[in-house]
Amino acid sequence: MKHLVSILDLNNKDVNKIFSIAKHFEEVLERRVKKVPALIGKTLALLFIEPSTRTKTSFELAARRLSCDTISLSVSTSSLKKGETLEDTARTLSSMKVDCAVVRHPHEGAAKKLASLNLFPVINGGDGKGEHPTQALLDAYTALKKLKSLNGKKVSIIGDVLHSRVARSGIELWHRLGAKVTLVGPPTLLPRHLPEYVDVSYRLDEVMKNSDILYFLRIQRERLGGECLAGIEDYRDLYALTKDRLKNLRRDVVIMHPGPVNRGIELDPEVIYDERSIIEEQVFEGLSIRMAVLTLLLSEKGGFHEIPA
Amino acid sequence: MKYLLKKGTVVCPITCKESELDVLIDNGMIVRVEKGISDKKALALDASQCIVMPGFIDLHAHLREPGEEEKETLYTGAKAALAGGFVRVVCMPNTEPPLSTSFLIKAVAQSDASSLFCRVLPTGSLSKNREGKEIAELNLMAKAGAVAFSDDGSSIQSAGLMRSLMLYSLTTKKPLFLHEEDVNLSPQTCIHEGKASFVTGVEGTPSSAEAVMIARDILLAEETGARVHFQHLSSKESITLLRNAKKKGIQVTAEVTPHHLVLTEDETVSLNPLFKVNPPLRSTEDRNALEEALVEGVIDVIATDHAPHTKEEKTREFELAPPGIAGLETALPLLYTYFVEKKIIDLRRLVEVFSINPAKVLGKKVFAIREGERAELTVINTAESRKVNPEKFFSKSKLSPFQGFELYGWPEYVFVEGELRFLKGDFPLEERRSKGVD
Repeated sequence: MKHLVSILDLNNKDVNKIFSIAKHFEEVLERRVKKVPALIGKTLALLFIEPSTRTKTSFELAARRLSCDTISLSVSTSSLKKGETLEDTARTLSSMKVDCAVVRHPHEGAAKKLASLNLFPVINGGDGKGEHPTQALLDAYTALKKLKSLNGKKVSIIGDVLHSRVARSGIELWHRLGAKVTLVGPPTLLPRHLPEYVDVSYRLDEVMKNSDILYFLRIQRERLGGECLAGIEDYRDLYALTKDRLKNLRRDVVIMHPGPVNRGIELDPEVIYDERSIIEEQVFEGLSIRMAVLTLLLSEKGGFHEIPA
Repeated sequence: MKYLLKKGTVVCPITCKESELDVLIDNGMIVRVEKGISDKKALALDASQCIVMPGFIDLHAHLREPGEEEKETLYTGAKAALAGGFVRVVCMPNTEPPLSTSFLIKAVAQSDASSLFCRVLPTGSLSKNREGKEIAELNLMAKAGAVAFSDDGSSIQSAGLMRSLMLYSLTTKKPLFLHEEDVNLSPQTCIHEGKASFVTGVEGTPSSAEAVMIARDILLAEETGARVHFQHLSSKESITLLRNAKKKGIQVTAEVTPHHLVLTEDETVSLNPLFKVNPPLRSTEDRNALEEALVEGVIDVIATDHAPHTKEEKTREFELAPPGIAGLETALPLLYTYFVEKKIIDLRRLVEVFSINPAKVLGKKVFAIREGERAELTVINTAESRKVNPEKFFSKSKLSPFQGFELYGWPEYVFVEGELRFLKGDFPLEERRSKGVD
């Protein structure tokens, strides 16, 4: 049984396959009737043990566009509050003949644990500071569409990389697609002991000129004071894409953000609607990529490798 | 304006000069360094009894402004530093309010006193408001002119916060100046735990109060790669830790004060508050270890820890008096008399610990005496001795534990930023300003 828990679950062929199927679904999403019967009769469980709007909506809509039924279990309604373990919940869902589950969980390793039960294909919708593979896929795909190739391109990932599952999945995928990754942030919020192929910078101004992609991460407000950061002014001076920095930015640069944006913290409002920003495209491709992932995991033959594109 | 320093012994480790030479200064720049220069347009300054050295830098002074102007101001502090032979003085942020914002740093960095006397370089606080809880806006303060960061007077107790501070400081490339004192070990009585605590009955501060924090921060400096400079080392245990860290190649530096090099706990047995200082004056073995480290090069810098207080405060009972010694105006003659004259260190080493190494700690260009350099010069007279008379200090604090000490090596001329700002006890720029010439 195939799962998508980590970006490492995919080989390069799988990634290309997902991208080519996503391209097909993009076309579907532009139709007047935005629905295909690909997964009719299947049921996807959305197991969200941590609040999420974007990812959940995106998966839910992706499933529906494929005629797949969805059921939602969120923190407030789930029996996990009543003391049931994640495994118990999964077994219950399996007995109810659910075909697949997306899991969002505050603890690293939760999706992997669920996948190890082999009850149904499991998609990691974000596990703590662990991974968020579909976000990485949609980011890379959106950038690829814009830039044609990622080979040799310089990607700077800016902000709280240490606590970011988006970055953890992204670093691996950007690298695999031939891009050169630089992590930019205060050393208090950058992982240490990085693989050799990753560069590090402590100042946005040092990397702005040389970056083809500026990928901003959401900074959590509660981290702004205290032992990681020195307040909003110091952070913005070092790492925010401000109006002033926007003026000196290369014309061919691509600005990305996984959302939701903290306006006036990591990005000034002007940046979001700048012509170099592809933040809205990222949201759109989120649907097509997730449709592709669901199709590949749930079609009759199962798995990634055997399905012809 | 042209100046000709005649027949001084020029000591410049950078250019490897150590001989009797004339130095011609034109429009702030050193234009010639050789024997027998004559220039009728230049103002001749007799330096035949003097040593001419690259300008001295004090990495550690408390100038008390803003908030405690009754003890010292930027004006009196910069003047005292100049009279003490310094061309740069780094001031600590334990003011009221603390130098913890870019706004205050800018105000100190742009102080008027810097253009009349010794240039004042501010340090920003390491933790926000020196509370030891959150990171201060290090990046913005560095941009505003902070040359280093320090919570001096207090020590960061949490190892977790210390590690974060070291990591965050890497965004600025500025050094951390660390006052090391574990408050769980230190009763902060400023009495060494040893002979002094035994004789007086005052609870002592063990050497370990300093050493455990130094050990911790050597490990963290190695792990984070931060630039760490230890302030006012006082104990032999600390020296051993530092020596081993340097052998391992860890990027740490350290300073020692003149008072810890010259005085011991024996002075504190009388509980005379003039000798109350933090860290406390320690044992003879500790002092010997500091001296050995100074000779060996394990100690990088001599810094004054100039800590002025009012007479009212400083003459109270030992327990109630604030710790601190006003040291800007005695540091150089003390080191000259007790170490150079006694041939414990040579003049080259004196220049290293007072000029070259402090510049390196700050990551600044070192001063040198050669053609094409701006004149930053400390010229001391080695032929005439004088007794320390605190009443004549330019500092507001007219107190010193060295009162009455007969010392050699008093500053004769000091050039700061190309200008002759100290001339045998006079301050030419200040005089010109008060006469309205400028």
